[in-house]
Amino acid sequence: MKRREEAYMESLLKRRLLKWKIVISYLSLTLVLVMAISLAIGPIYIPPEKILKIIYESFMGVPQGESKYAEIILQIRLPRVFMGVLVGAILAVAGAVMQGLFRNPLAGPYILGVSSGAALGAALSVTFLPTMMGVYTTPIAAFIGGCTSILLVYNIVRLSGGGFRTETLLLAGISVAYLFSAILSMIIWLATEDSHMILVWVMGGLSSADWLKVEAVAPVMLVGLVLAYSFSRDLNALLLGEETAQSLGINVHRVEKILPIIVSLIVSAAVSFSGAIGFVGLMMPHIMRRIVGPDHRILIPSSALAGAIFLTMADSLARCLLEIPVGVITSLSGVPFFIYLLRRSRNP
Amino acid sequence: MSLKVREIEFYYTARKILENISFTAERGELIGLIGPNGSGKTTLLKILDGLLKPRIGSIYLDGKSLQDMRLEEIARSIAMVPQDSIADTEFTAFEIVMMGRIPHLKRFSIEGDEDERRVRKWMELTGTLHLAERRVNELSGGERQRVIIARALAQEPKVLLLDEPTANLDLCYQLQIMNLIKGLTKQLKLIAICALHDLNLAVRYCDKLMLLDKGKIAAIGKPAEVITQENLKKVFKIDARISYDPETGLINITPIKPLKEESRLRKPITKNA
Repeated sequence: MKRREEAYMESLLKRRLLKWKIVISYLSLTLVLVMAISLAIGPIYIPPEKILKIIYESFMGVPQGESKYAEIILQIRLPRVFMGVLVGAILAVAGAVMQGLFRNPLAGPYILGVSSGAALGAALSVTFLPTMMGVYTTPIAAFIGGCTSILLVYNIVRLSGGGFRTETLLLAGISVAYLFSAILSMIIWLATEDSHMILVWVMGGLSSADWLKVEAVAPVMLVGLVLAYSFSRDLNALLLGEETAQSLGINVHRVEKILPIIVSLIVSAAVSFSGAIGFVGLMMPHIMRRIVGPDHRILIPSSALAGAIFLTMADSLARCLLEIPVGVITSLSGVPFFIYLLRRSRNP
Repeated sequence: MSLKVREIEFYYTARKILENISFTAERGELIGLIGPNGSGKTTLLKILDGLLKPRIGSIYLDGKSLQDMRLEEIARSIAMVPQDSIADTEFTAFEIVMMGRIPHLKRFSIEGDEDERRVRKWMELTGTLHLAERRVNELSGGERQRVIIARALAQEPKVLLLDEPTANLDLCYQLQIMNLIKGLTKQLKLIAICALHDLNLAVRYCDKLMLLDKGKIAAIGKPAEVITQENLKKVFKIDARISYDPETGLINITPIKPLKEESRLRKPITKNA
C-alpha cells in the first residue's frame, strides 16, 4: 500500500513516456536484428561479415566487381527486406487505425474491399493485358482496382441516404469485397491458363521486390504513417464513443470520412506490389494493444514496427521453404501465437 | 455569467422533438431535467453541448452565441457526462481523465506537467486519484461514474451537463454521486444541468427543476412548485402521493398506480382453468 502511494507522487506522464520509449527502442532493435538475419539466410547462406562488407563498400562507392554475393545482397535480398518492412508497417498501421475508427476488433486494412479490388485488378491484367506496360502492368492494375473499390464504397454510402455513418461504411465495404471476390472467382474459373498466376498473386508475396518498387512504396508509407499518427488523439477519443469525442471538440464527421480514404489508399499502394498478405494487418494491432494498451499514440508506431518485424521474419522463412507464398506463412505462424496471447491479458 | 436559452425548436427529420424551450441558468445552480421517456431530455442536453443544432432559437453563454463557437471552443466551456460510455475500454482512469485536456491542447502537442497537475487535482476532488492506474473496465459503476465526472471537470468547464448520472447505480452510489454533483456545483460555481429519472433524487438535490412533456416545458421552478399531484398526473400519467417527512425534512413522492392499465392480463390463470 505504501509503495502504491509513493508511486502516485512521481509523474504518471513521465512514467508513460519512459514506457513508450522502452517499447519503441526494443522493437526498433529487434527490427534491425531481424533485417540482418533476413539478409543472411536463404537458399544460399551469406555470413554477416560479408554482408557488412558488401553494404559498406556499396555505400562508399567501391566497385563490386563480379561478386556473386554482392549481386544477391544488393539486388535481391536488400530490396526484398525493405519491401517487407514497408508493407508490414503499412498493413499493421492500417489495421490499428481501422479497428480504432470502427471500434470493431474484426476491422483490418482490407475492410473497405481494397484487397478484393486490387486482386481483381491484378487478375484482369494477368488475363487480358499481360505485357502492355512491362513488369509494372499488374501492380498498376491492382492499384487502380483498390482505388475503384474505395470509390464504389463511398458512393454506396452516399446513395444509401441517412447521412454518413461508420456502420454503413463497414457494410458497404463488406459487400463490395464480396462482389469483387465473386468476379475474381469467375475469372479464375474461366482463365484456366493464368489461374495459377492469379492465385499466387492473391496469396501475396515479396519475391518480385526490386529497388524501383521500394522507392515507390517508401514515400507512401512515410506519408501514411505521419497522417495516421496525426489522428491518434482523435482515435483515442473516438474509443469513448462518437458523442463524447465530439463533446471533446473533435470534428468526428471529418475524421470518419477522411481517415478511411487515407488508409485505404496507402493499403492499395502496398497491396499492389505484394498481393493481399493476410494476418499482419488484422492481428499485429491486437497483439500490440495487449502489450502497450489502447492509446493510439503508442499503438500506431509500435504496430508499424511489429508489422515490419513479423513480415520480414515470415518472408525469410518463406524464402527458406522453397518460396511458399508469404501470406500462407504469416497466417500459419501467426495464428497460434495470437491464440497464445489471447489467453494472457495486458499488464498495465 | 449565465446560460440563456431562447425559444429553441428542434426537429428530428420531420418530427418535432423540442418546442419553445426558454430558460436561464445562473452559476452555482443545479437544475434537474425531469420528464417521461421520450420527452426530449437527452436531446436538450445534446443541443446545450453543441452536438445538435436547433432549427430555431439560440443559446448564449456569457452573452456569446453557441452557434458562433467552434466545437473545440464549446468543449472548453461546456462538458458533458454522458450515460456510461467507457465501460468496455481498456484505458486507465488516469488516461480517461487526461482526455478531458484534449480541447486545451494543440494538435501535435503532448500533455505536460501542468495538465497532469490539473488532472490530479480533479481526480483528488472526485475521489478517484487512488484509481488512477486501474483500467476503467475493472471499476465499479460508481467509481467509473466519478472518473467520467473527473474527465468532464478536466475540460475546466463553466457548464456541466449530466445525462442520468445515477442510472444503473445502487442506492449508496446514487447518493454519493448526487452529493458529489451538488458539492461541485456549489464549490466551483458551475452551471449544472442534470437529467434525472428518479424524482425523489431530483427533488432532494436540485435547486430548480424543469419538467419536460413531449418536448415542451410543462413547469419550471422550485422543486416543491414543480412536483405537484396535478403535474405528475398530467405529465407522468400516474397517481402519486406527495408527503413531507418532518424527521428528515425531505419531500417524498410515492407512485400509487398508473392512470391507465395497458396490460391485457385479467385474472391469474389457475390450474383448472
